[in-house]
Amino acid sequence: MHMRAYLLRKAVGMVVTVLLVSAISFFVLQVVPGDPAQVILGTEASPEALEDLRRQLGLDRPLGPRYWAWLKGLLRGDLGESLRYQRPVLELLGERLPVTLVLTFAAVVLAMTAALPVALLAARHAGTPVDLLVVLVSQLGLALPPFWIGLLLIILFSLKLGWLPPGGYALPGDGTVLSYLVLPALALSIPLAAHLVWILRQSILEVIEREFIRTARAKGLPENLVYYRHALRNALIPAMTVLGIHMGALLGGSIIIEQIFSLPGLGRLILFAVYNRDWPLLQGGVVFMAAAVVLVNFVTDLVYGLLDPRISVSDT
Amino acid sequence: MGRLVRILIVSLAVALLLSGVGWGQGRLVVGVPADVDGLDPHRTVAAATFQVVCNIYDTLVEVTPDGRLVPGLAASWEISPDGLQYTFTLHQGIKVHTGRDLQAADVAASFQRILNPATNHPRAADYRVIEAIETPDAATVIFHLREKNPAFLSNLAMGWAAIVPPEAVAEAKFRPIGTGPFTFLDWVPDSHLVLRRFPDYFRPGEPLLDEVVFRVIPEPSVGIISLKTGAVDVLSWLAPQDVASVKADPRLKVVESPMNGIYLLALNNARPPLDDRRVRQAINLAIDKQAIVDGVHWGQGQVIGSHMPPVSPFYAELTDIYPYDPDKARQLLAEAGCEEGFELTITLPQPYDFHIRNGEIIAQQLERVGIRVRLEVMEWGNWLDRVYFGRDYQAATIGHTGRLDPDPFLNRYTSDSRENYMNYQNPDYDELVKVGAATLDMEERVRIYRRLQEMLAEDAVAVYLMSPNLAVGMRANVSGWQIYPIDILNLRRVYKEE
Repeated sequence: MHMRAYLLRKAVGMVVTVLLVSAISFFVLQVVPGDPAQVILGTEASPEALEDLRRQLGLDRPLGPRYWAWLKGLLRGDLGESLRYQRPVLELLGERLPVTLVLTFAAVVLAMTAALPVALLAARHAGTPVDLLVVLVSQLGLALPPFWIGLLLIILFSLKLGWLPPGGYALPGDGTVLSYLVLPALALSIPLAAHLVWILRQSILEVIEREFIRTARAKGLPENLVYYRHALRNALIPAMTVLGIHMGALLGGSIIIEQIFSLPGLGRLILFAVYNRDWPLLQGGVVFMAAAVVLVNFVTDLVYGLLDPRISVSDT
Repeated sequence: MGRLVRILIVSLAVALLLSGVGWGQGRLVVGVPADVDGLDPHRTVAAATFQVVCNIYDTLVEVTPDGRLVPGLAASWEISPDGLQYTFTLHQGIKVHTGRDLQAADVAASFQRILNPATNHPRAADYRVIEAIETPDAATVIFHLREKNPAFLSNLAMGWAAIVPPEAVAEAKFRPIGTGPFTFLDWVPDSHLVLRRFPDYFRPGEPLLDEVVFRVIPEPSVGIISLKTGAVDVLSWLAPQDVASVKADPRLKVVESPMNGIYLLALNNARPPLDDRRVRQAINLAIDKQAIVDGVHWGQGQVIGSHMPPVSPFYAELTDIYPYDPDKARQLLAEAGCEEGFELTITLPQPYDFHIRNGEIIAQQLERVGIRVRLEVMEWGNWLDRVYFGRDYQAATIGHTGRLDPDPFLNRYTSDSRENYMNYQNPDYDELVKVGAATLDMEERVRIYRRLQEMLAEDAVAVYLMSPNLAVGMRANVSGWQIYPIDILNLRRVYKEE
């Protein structure tokens, strides 16, 4: 009963958040300078032609009714039509989603796989040269900008070694799509892994000082079990927070990595919308991103409860 | 379960077949910096779109790399002595990609679509001079003009005058159907676009390639790596700093040509103190243009003196009027009452790196004569609004490109032009532009347009910086690539040596 009430409350909260974001972005976008008709017709257009096009695009109507119409569309699952591509926004977002989803999950899996053992290693050897090295490398991973990591990876794996394509997406007959996603996923996962190592190492060191660990050790549990079963599980909670924040951001598309690796993801679609003043497309993108962040946060909350039974969903 | 296994086996076999040898034969991969914004030549202003769609659609008239107008879909044409009637005879055996013959009526329909306000053709104004179109038989199209228009023929060679057959209209943005050397196969926005050889193309023996792939590579350094690793065969645009390294690589080569375009520092002639001609002249004298060509463009360009690129037959050589002379600049500023210098804001368009860097060098040079420069970087849509149409600026860096006739280049400076964003006002200039636009005699036109360039230079309307070079990088085995004075990537005669 508790759970159902909680879920209901959460769901309402999420819908309200997304609606608020949509309203704010809708009205803010209207005061951004630049005219979609101007961008479509270019510098040689006559004022009459511009006026005509604005009318055709519905840009001459007042803001309130326009937002209301957009909202009604949203309830029907219709995000309107892109001004520039002249195709449904939902379709355009849907086409870009696979690239972004695959990249996000690949980056998260890679980062977790690398971060867990490294953080454990560093924590168990705290204060030793091994620990110092891990701390140094993870600092470096955090400090390096992703576009630079991306370029280095391309230079190494494509130009020097010739193992992987230097970006782009598979053409018909090019073999596996996967080879095109390895480098960008790696580039995305490096800062994430560094951040996770940093947080995990810190929280393992904190947890290991707690009383229940002392109790576990006193019971005579083997040290490995103490670390894996007790310390790590508790240390994962702050790491989940970090992961949730990163994932929310990644799901909105990573403009820089998509740009470097020439990938058709959500990030570049949204950049296109900005440059072309394609308001419906941009609005759809913003709402999608808001929904993704809200949803990831919700899942993170649920995962907290799984990791630590003391955190009950109904408390939050 | 058994069915699932079967499906798996079949799809594996298909995947193997598709990735098998033979697919890459006759396929050319061209790396381009920007994606098309659709494939309808009548509904876009995007250069990236015209570069590509010239391979799907044809125009009545075509332009050669050296700027001559030659037959396209029209095998020949006749212009009446009064310049009001143009009669085109279509080539024989032109096939539409659907397999049927192209008729004169299709050509007429295409121009009616251009002129129809509902199409929102961005350059429809270029064709408003057409009063009526007549098609006496299946191979003849007659255009009746309202008035003499020397630019008419060259306007027919522009990408936005492409002949779009009626059956293409409904889905022209995504499923183009033309008469060109290649048919449309697939477009994945922001990734790639694939064209296939059209076997019934009306020019026998062309095109030479079986398949063309345009791959969008927005990051220039990744473009170079893609070229070096062979992931692309051609890179349609080389950044100036990369030209030397591509030339030095024995596996690669560069095809280059001066571009039909110019870069300039636009000055708002209506804003004090820029409304004083002496101040504008001082700014011209204080800028070392060669330093910009060398410093920003790695020497890949040519200094100019007025609003016309040297590749144009109408170009007037005026680089001597304002040599780099900071002392004289200071003197002119003093004469104009600006001995203390003044503050100048230069608005730079984002994301055009080279225009931004042009502005940065100019700022340093102007500081030396006491002009204190504030640089303001502005996103393109905003820049258009504020500078180009709002005329709310002091100075701005920008470029102008791409026309064959001198009139569209120079008529922007007439007092009542909507595109006169520099606010130039000169009744003599306005008058001479009108004369030029009604003169058919080539020698007389050259004389008129050279005089117009002189007027702009004498009045120092802007600082005309340079005409850039265009460099295309490619694998050494690619042949037949040509650069045109309009922005197209024409692949009809391109081939790969095995």
